[in-house]
Amino acid sequence: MNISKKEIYIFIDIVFSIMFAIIYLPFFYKNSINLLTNSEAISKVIQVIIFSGVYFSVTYGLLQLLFKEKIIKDERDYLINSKAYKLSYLIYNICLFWIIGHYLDGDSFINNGFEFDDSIIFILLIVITGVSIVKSSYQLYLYRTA
Amino acid sequence: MLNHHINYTYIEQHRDMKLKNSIKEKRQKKSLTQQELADLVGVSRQTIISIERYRYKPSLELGLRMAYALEVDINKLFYLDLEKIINITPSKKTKHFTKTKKFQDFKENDWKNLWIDLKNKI
Repeated sequence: MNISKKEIYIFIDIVFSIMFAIIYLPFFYKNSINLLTNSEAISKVIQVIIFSGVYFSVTYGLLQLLFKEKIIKDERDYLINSKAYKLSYLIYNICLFWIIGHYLDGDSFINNGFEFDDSIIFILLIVITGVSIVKSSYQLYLYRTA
Repeated sequence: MLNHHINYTYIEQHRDMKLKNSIKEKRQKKSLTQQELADLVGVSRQTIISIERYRYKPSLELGLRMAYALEVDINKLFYLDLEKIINITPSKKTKHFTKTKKFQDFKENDWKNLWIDLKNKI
């Protein structure tokens, strides 16, 4: 199968989102985040930043070594990107409204008003990761078919 | 009030026609590879492949750049599929496009069409 450099870049993004979901998302789960102290939580965030930095520099560096060709961005790329971002924006908005509705409808909000709930961080991270995977997959699909 | 029915079938037929191109043919005539043409017009090879396979419709600017690179008239490079108009049969959809126009709103072409219609009926 003939795969272009742009498609590999997208594939790297998808792999990163999946790895992030598997390795780091469990730390932000409601029960896990309650067990973490402030310093531990900060160290987890630093870990994520370092991990993403190392991951992207290694993969992009390898890609530059393997593929010497220069990437040319043209009108088709902009069209594909805009289509993919449009879809991800739509999904993100729907999820955001669903989350807001879910919290407003809950018993705790009706009885006590808004209280910061740890699970909101986890849910938002899931939504962001999910939307990122969908966006990249759709981009990949459009590059193969459009 | 006298009204004249204008048949919009012709307009609909044109709307349904698909945009085709002869890029592959012209490119091969000039013995250019897809990559060479892509470099000439400043796009990626994948874009040229997509255009040749009718997956992607290029912008007018890119179309003109391609015509210039291949040294052909843009009308010869991009054209509407004429085969469809010959084989077309009036559909149910066509009836929705039949609209009524008043004589006051008639333009030169409408008078011509009316004259042709009347001539055909006589």
